[in-house]
Amino acid sequence: MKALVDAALVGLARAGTPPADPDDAGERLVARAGEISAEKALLVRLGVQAVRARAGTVAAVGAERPKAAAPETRPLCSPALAAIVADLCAGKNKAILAEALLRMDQRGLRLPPQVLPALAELRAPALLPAVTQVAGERGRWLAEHNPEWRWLIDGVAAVSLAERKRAWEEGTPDARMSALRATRLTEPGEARSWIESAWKAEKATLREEMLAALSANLSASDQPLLEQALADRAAGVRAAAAKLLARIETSPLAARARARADETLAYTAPATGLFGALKSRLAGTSHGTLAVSPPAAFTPAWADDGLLEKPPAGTGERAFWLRQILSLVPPAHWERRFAATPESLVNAAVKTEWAEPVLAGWTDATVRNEARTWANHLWTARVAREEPEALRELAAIIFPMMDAAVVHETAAEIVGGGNPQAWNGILAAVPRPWSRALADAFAKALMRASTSTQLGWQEVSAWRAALDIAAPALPIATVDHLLVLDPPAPDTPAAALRNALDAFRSVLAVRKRIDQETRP
Amino acid sequence: VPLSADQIAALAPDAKALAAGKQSAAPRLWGALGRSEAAIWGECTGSAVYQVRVALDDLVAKCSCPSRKFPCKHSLGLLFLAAESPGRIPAGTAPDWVTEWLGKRNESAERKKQRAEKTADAAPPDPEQQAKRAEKRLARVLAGVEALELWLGDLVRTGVASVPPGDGVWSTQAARLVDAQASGLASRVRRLGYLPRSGSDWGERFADGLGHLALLVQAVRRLDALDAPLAADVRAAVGWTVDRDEVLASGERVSDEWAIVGQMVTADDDERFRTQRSWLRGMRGGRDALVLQFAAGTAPFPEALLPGMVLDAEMAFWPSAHPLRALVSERRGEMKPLTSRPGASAGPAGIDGLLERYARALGRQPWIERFPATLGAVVPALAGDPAGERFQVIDTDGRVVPLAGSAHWKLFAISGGHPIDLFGEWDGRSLLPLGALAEGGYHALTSGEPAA
Repeated sequence: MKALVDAALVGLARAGTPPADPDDAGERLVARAGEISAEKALLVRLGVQAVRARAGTVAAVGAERPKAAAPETRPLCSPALAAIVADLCAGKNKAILAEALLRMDQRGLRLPPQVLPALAELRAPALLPAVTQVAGERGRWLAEHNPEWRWLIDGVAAVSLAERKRAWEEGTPDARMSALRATRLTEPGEARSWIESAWKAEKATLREEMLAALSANLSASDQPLLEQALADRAAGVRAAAAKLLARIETSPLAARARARADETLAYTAPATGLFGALKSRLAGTSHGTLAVSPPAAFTPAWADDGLLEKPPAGTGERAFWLRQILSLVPPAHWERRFAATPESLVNAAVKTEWAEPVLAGWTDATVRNEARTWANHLWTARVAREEPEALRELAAIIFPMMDAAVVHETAAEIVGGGNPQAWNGILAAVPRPWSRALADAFAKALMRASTSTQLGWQEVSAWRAALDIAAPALPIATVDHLLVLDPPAPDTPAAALRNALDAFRSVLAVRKRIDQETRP
Repeated sequence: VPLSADQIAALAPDAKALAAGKQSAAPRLWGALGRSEAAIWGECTGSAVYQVRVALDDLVAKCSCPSRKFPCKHSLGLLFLAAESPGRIPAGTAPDWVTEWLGKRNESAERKKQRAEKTADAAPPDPEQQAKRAEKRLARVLAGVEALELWLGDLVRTGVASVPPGDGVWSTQAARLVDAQASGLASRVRRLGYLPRSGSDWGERFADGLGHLALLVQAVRRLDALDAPLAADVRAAVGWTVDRDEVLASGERVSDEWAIVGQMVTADDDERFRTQRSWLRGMRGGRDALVLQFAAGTAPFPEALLPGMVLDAEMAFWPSAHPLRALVSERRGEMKPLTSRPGASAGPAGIDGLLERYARALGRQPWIERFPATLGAVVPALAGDPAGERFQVIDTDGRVVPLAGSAHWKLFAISGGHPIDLFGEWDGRSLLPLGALAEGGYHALTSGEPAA
């Protein structure tokens, strides 16, 4: 056969007619065709051999059979739920998928095997740990056969240190940074040594990013590297190093920052004793008083600690410097120095004429040092001061640190105000599922809006965003009346929300079905 | 109707209608739902209230909405609703708008039958005229074949490898064959043209295609000397068609409960034309049948054939030395889900048995391109490194065949290392899996879903 194929490819003119084996049955068949040209003979011989090759295929033997998957211990979910999960795997809304898997896990159910490849392909650690249980023994078996699916059973630590190191050395910028961040969580010293050895070769933007990775598990051992970075050519790198050094209490920079900040704040505790308390209540100083003295001039040496001299347009320089100075000091320092609670200090700060930069500086420091006790009080103070811009920035970083109940309560209040533009950026950070009070406030505001005759385009677009956020977040027990909500009348401004409302309702409907299919 | 979501999806004309259909299954949209022996129905609130009904025997749907897609999203929605929450569709007396439609359907089916009988009975319009036309066509085909043979001779004399890549000779030659009314030969030549330098073993595959084409050329020149069934195969491979009426009038008829074991839909480049290949297998007799259906754009395929269902029907086969292609000449009642290997009593279902049946079939009809394969109790396994995503199946005797294509993870997952029944197409080299039965449940493997 090989000789025939070669002759056809190279050409009879060059290869010549391959010899025929007279004992070969196929060749004898061709011979019966009688006198034909060499070309025609080759074509017919190819044909006979092609059919013989197909018909004569013999199966191989001796392949190894895979070990069978262990018997399942969990009952199968309903076919309807399996179909929903299959759709969710293919769709965009991964929050609902997480909810479905969580509910299935709580009920002790598992998915049928045919859904598992699409699920495993998602490689979404956010679905852990429920996904491992819901995938059952078959999921475990699949993960043992496909290294890409190891995450199903091993979780995030699936990637070994050696593999992460390789990703760090050879990967794309994104892969390098995620390998670095993952390693910093489990082997902080190792991660630091990677940065040290790569430091000189990398560009400023990457140096800055590498430093940011040190934020997790920060310790005094990181000090030498950070001191070196503090003398970096790039201002961004210097500022990033300063922020981190400020968090290491024993570092010279932290000591300098404390000394600098101590110059700016002085606190007087409220008077004690019956008479004193009454007097301070009358004066509105029951939380004590804070004296704020922002620096009058920028000391050039401050620049070495990452402070900037020039404020952005619209901000006064003294306020700008003050905010930066305070942001470099862990809030706990003030509790010790003034022997006062965060609540007292925040409330005292509100009363001063420099409230804005003080609160902003403390907020920055609270976020960087994850000072939980400060977060609630700062948030309350800023809500009271009606600073929507500041709140928007705060919400995403500060909500995860606050008590969920407090967040829900405050979010319900804001939603109750009825202006969707005020919630933009805030709702997304509210932990799920929402409280019933927040859900009710949202539903009420939505009903009002869908029948409103005065709805600007800005409000419409804010509502679109809000519906997107609310659909996976509303507790499922509260949505029945929203599912049957009448669509907005065609000639009202709310008609522009029709598509967004349809999408909102269909997400709710899917969640409702997940709920029904996972009821005991 | 015990249909699965996958099976309903196979009915959708396109991905958009499918997605909209799922949305339309929301119970809040539906009223006046009901079912009888013959149909399910309901009123769906969309932009207006639409009357939706689906006949249970062949799943043909009718909706009062103005959509030009068939079935429309409301009809699909009703099917999804019936599958998801059958409890919402109570048995009841069909309203007039359902019974009238069912009546009309019966009438038109009756008319069609009468028409078919009439054509079968009626003498051909003018036998002399027809014979003349046939003779003229044969002469044209033979002239085309003559030219093709000369060209093939040149090709092997100078060598296939000497044709520059991307050269137009293949399409030129194919176009000449179309002119000679030999479209089957034309598409074989066109496919040959894709092969050069298309992978490491292209020489082998090219020689295989070239050899089969050469045999066909020989056969068509000796058409008169061949047995009638084989002559019919040669004529079909060259491009003569036998239309449905002829098959209905004179084709071999086989009654059985036919399991739809595999289905594949392919679309031409601009998605204007879709071809559906369905493999059926007799539950009792183990006979294989291939039903080809064609549709323009998003039009539905005329016969509703859902993979994984069993259809009580009579099939009529096209004439052939190894008949495979068939049409449904009569269907009786609703489809039922497939739960066991069809034709289990008809013979062994190991790999050796498949290869032997294939060899015998090629002995009768050497141009079979896709051979139906039913394998019992095989275990799918990875062939080589998982990253290569290559698979094979192993039967109880330890025989192995490779699977065509790659990434058969769904099949692998379904089996979990346990034996399953597998349905697919065998081409002499590898098996293309189309469906599997595991733990009494059928899974479609190559998508019956519409292209997105």
